[in-house]
Amino acid sequence: MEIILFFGSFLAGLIGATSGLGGGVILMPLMVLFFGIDTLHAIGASLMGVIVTSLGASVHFLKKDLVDIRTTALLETATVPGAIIGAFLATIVHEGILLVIFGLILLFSVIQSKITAKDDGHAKYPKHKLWGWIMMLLAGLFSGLLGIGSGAFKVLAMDRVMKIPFRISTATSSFMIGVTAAASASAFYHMGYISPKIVTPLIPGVLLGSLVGAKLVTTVNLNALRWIFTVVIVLLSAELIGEGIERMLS
Amino acid sequence: MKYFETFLSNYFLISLVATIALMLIGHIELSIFLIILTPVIRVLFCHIFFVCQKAPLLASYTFFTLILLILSSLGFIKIS
Repeated sequence: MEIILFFGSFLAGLIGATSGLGGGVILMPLMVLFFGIDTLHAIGASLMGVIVTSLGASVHFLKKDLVDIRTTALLETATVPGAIIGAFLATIVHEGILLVIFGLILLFSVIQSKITAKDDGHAKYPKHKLWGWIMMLLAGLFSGLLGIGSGAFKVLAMDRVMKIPFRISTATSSFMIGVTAAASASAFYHMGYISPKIVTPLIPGVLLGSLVGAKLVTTVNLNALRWIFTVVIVLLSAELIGEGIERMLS
Repeated sequence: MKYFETFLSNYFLISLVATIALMLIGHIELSIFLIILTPVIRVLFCHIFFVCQKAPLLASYTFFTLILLILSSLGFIKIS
């Protein structure tokens, strides 16, 4: 099972990196739907994958001087408590509801990734800090609740609300998701929902997949592949919503 | 600021390599601990940086975040 999980997580990392959605949104449903891993253990393992992916991506963005560290200092005061609250909610919310919410978040992430952002390099930013902070609290909540990085929410908050240039928003989001995931992963770790047996093949797989995917994005024209992945993700979200409703009714 | 970002990127790289190495030699629990700890230490570095930069508001934001992360990492924020 470990070898299959390694290849599955490699695929998740690859799809996440090439589609721009991150590995967490693929990893969690992969573990629950195809490996039959229970939801809370899947969330815990996914959070570990998110931290590692963030660490790896941050190296590249920091070297390119694209991360707004000053803004992260402000916004992490929202994402961290949000993530801890989300981790708490994950243990009390019915798993069927979790899967339905995840399916809807996945759909939202796909739609959001298709919206082309206008990169205004001359705008004075950040603006609307309070609204950005509130959105970050929600992003942190979803991160802890579902085991994802909430990159789509964070980019949306920084790009659309705080008027931070898109490239910097993406890089800063990638930098922040690790800290957010660490907050909720700590809670899951102490509750015993991070299984070494699952994490061991998962982390190298998702890291390798996201590194290969990131390399492919910069060297190969991936338009056709991106559309295939989009269809796969939409089908996955439908499957999740269906599975969630089934579990709620059973 | 550039030197701080270079320092952070190098620190992350070393941490990532150390985590994978620990995993490969069988110290799974230790590697899990290191993965969770790395972002916490990162916030600590940010806090020290902002203190040194004499940016008190930013230093307090990072300090708040750091305290929450430490409490969560040590299991003091209990969720049952």
